[in-house]
Amino acid sequence: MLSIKNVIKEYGTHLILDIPRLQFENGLFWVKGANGSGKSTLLKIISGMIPFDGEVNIDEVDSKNCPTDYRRLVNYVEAEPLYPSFLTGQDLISFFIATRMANREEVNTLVQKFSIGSFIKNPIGTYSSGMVKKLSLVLAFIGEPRYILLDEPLVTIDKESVPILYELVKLYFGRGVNFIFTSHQAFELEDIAVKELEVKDHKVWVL
Amino acid sequence: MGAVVRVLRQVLVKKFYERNVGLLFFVFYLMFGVVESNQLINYHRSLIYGILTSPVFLLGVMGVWIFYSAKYLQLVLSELAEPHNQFLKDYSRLGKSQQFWPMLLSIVLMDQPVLLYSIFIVGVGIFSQQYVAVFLVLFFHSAKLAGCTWIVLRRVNSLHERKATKLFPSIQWPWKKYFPFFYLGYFTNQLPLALLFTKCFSLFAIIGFMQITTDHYENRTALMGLLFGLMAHAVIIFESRRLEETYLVFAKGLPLSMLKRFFFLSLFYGVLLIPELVLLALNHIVWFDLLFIALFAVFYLVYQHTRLFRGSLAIDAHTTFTFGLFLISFMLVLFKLYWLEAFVLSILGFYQYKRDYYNFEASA
Repeated sequence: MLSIKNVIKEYGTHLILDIPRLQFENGLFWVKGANGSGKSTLLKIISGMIPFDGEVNIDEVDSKNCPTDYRRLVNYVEAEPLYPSFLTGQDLISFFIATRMANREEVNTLVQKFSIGSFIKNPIGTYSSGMVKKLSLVLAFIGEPRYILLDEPLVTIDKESVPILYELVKLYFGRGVNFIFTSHQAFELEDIAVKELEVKDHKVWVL
Repeated sequence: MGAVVRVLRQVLVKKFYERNVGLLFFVFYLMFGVVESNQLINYHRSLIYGILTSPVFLLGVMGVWIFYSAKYLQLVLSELAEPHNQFLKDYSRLGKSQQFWPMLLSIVLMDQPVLLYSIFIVGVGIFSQQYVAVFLVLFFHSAKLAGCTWIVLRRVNSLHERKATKLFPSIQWPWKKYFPFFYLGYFTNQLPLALLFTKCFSLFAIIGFMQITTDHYENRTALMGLLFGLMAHAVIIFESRRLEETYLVFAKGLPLSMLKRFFFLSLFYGVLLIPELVLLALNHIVWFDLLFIALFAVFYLVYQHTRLFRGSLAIDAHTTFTFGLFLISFMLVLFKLYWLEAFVLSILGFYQYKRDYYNFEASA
C-alpha cells in the first residue's frame, strides 16, 4: 500500500499540494485535474524525484529513509520525457535493466510489443516524439515495481500502441503491479475498475 | 522586427554571455589587468602595430578570432537543438532579408569584444597608413560575420527536418555506453569544441609549468600547472550539471545508492583527467605522488560539481567559486598539502552530494 502523510509541496512561496493523508490501496488510479493543478508534481513526489515536506512510503518502505529500496518499488515516466540525444534506445534499456536488475528476456518482449526494435539501436536524437514516448513506456515496465506511475501515457503515441499499452497494464496488474496515471483521456480498460481522484485546490479528492 | 531581435537577444546572446562570463573576465584581465596602468596605452599600441605590420602575427590573431567565433557558433547551434527553443522554427517563415539582419545583429552582439578591439586596430591602422592590413581586418570580419549568420540561418531553416547540421565533427561511439560515460558522450557528441579547448588549455598549462626546472625532484611545478588546467574545467563541470538537470533527470528515479552515484561521478572525472595524468606520468612524477595527485584532481572537480546542487545553477556564482577554490588550493599546493585537500574534498563532496542531490530543483 502506498501511503502519503502530511505532504506539502511548494515552489518558492507558491503552494502546489497540501495532502494531510492519502492512501493508494492495490488497483488502478486515474488522477484527474486541470492544467497546473499539481498532477505531475504528485507523481514526481511519489516517485521520490523531487523534494517535499512530509512522508511517502510503500509497504512501510519510506522514500526518505530507504530511498534506494523505495525507488525499486516505483517506476515513473514523465509526460514528455527527455533523454540524451546521442544515446541509443538500447543504451538506455541496458542501463535500466542493470539498475533495476530486470530480466532481459522480458524486456525483449516489451520491445517487440511496442515495435521499437527497428530503431532501438539508433541515437535518440533521430526519434520522433512518438518513438521517444514508446521507449519511455518500455522503460516504465522494466524491473519489478509495485507501482508504475504514468504521466499522460496516451499523449503522442499512435492509436495502434494504445491497445498494446492497455494489454500490458492488464498483464502487469494481474501480477500485482499497481498503476497511477494522469490523463485527460479516459483509460478504457475492460474488466478492471479504475479508481478516480482529482487534484483540486492543492488537495487530492477521491471521487 | 524589434520583437524578433529581442527574442534572439534573450535566447542566444544573453545565454552566450551568461555561459562565458568567466572566460571573458579572464581574457579581459590578461589583456588589461596584467600591465601597469601607465603602460597600458603603449602596450596596446605596440601590440596593434605588431598585428598590422606582421602578416604572421595578423594571421595568428585572426586564428584566435575564428576560435572565438567557433565558440559562440557552437553555443548557438546547440541552443537551437534544445527542445525549449523549438519555437524558433517559426523564424524560417520570415523572408530571407527579414531573417538575415536580426540574426546578423545577434552575431555582432556576441562578437562585440572582438569587434571593439578591432575598431582600435582599424583606427591605429588608418592613422599609421597601414591600409592593406586595415582592409584585411575589415574584409575578414565582414566575411566572418556573414558566414556565421549564414551557418546559423541554415540551421534554423532545417529545424523542421529534425536533422542536426553540426559545425564540428562529433564522435558517436559505436559501442554500448554505460552511465558514467553518458557524461563523456555528451561532450564528445554535443560539445566537442568545449572539450577540446579545455583539454588543450589544461595540457598546455602543465607543459608550461613543467618548463620550470629545479635541481632536485619537485612535483609542485606540475601541480601548479594542473591547478590551472583544473580551473579550465569550470565550463565542463557546469555543463555536466546542466546535463543532469535536463536529459539525465530520469536517473533520479532509479534505485542507485548515493555511494554508487558518487562513484560513477568520480569515475567520469577520473576518465576525463586521463590525458593530464598520462602527461604527468611521462614527466617523471613518481607513481606514489601520481596516485595522490590523481585523487586530488578528481575530487577537486567532483567537489565543484556537487557544490552546484546548492542554490540555483548560475554560471557567474560558479566561476567566482572556482576562482576562490583555485586560490586556496594554490596555497595548499605550495605547502605540499594537496593530499590533505584531496581527502577533505572527497569527504565534503560526498556529504554535499548526499545532502543535496534530491533536494535540488532547477526552478529554485
